[in-house]
Amino acid sequence: MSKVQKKTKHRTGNLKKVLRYKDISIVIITIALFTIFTLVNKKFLTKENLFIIVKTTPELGIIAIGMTMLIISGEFDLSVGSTFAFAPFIMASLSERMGLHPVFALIMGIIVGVGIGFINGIITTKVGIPSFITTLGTMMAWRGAVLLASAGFPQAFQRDLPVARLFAGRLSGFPVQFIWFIVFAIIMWIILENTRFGNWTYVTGGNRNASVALGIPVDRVKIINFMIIGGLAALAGSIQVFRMGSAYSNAGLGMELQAIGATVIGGTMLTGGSGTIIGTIMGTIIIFSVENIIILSGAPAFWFRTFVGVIIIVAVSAHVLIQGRRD
Amino acid sequence: MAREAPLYELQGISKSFGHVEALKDVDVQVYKGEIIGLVGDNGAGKSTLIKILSGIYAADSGTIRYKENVVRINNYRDSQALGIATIYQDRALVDSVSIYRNIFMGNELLTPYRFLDKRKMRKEADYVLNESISIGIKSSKQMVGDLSGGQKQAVAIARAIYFRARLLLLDEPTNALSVKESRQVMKFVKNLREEGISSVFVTHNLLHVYTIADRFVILSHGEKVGDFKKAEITMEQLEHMIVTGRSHVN
Ligand SMILES: Nc1ncnc2c1ncn2[C@@H]1O[C@H](COP(=O)(O)OP(=O)(O)O)[C@@H](O)[C@H]1O
Ligand SMILES: [Mg+2]
Repeated sequence: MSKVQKKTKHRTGNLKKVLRYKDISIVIITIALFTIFTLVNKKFLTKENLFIIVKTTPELGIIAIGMTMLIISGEFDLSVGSTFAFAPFIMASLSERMGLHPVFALIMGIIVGVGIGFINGIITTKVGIPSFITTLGTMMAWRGAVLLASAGFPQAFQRDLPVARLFAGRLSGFPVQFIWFIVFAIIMWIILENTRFGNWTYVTGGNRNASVALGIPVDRVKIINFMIIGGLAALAGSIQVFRMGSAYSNAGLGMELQAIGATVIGGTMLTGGSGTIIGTIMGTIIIFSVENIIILSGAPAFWFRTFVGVIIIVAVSAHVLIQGRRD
Repeated sequence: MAREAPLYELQGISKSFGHVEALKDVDVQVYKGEIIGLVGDNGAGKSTLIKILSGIYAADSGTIRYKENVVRINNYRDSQALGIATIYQDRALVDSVSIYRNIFMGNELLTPYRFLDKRKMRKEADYVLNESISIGIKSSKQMVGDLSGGQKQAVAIARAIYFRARLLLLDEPTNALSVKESRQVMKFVKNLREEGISSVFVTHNLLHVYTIADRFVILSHGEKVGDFKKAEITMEQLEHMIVTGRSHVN
């Protein structure tokens, strides 16, 4: 082999290595979109505008993190939008109507979310029906429950309570919920990448039979991931209540699909076994940037769905083209 | 010939699925450091025997001994604890994660704070891959899905070696492999014999099994119809027995 040949071989080898790095395609997609958006509208890349994106991202982002883990483990959850409304409604009612301390009310709300996840997990793994069906059912059931409990009226919640400011206040102008989003993202990233449970989550979704054969408790792994996303959906819903000062029975409608959208834009495969938190963070930011650029450009808001739909297809195609199909 | 006691011994093993008698009163001994070719026509009961040893099925009757003590194999853990490792053709690896995560799945090494000890797992995985079965895998960080069929088998075997298996069960390990890859897999199995590790090798390829095995156990319709050392039987006779299900020595 000549020296030149060797050199090019080495170089393409390095390029391949970079492209193999699992988050590279989402980074390329994000940079490309941000460049386009900046060219389309000068206001896009200003501090004020980025703060607006940062303020609204965390609610979906926190759910999308949980969705990512659950999808990696080979299941998904359509009931998160209903949990996002139901659990915080319980929190707000307990605090405002029953006079429970707001911190305990929040804890109760999150326990409700975790419990909803537990029920989803038990039905899916022990009865053995697809999580699509289980959570389609619980999605409707919990939405019905919150509509019934609220009789269609919002439940007020005091925005200036310390607990509300802790999760949805400002830190010298910066929305703290974004900090919580990043904190949870880091915790979940550490769990996924650096703990045994995280490894079991990947292998359970990647090859359930192999995992069973090697003694991994696949049902328990899935149930715990259902509980994590349930708890995160309850927390995200509570953050919205803290931000808006009311719990609405129609909060989080359609959020399950947006969360799945953010996850797949980020490079997580619906087939399970692969995916990353970093990708999902980027995916969530992309969705809100799209919404933002539409509003900035004065285009009618219903373009949002169309655009997100197109982005989902373009992003997943880009992942496949950049990283190659994995079958 | 006086011989030491078998390492593993199956005695009177029977197993039925409904009215299908997959195994009828089968005896098999496995000695230390020998390769057994388990042969027989389709449906003879080979996979069922392998699955009983790996804890997937429980035998309806019969006893299993390890070093002359009666043992029970109720699940994968029991099988692993007895030093038995099963190399499935495709079932036991996860394509979407790295080699080292595959080798250690279910047996992860942890730091004192109970995080994954990734550095140690990588180091150990690289060591087994390079020292025991060098097969051109550069790094244990590679995704298993990017490997060839032969390399995947190597990863499965590396897992067995790392966890100090004393008996490898290989059920048609070369089925989906190229000629070259099959040869590599057979080479690993032979190398392991030098280290005293026994194997039970199931394959349809008579040439493969005749090349590699020290002894042949022939099953037909769930019954053992022959048990020969390599010196006692030619390849033609072996083939004849598999086809007819009858012993050539009458
Ligand atoms: N899980 C099962 N359920 C029902 N019948 C089975 C099962 N596993 C194997 N059998 C039957 O047992 C017999 C032996 O099968 P097997 O051990 O797979 O044979 P081989 O591996 O030698 O081809 C066959 O008749 C097969 O159909
Ligand atoms: Mg078979």
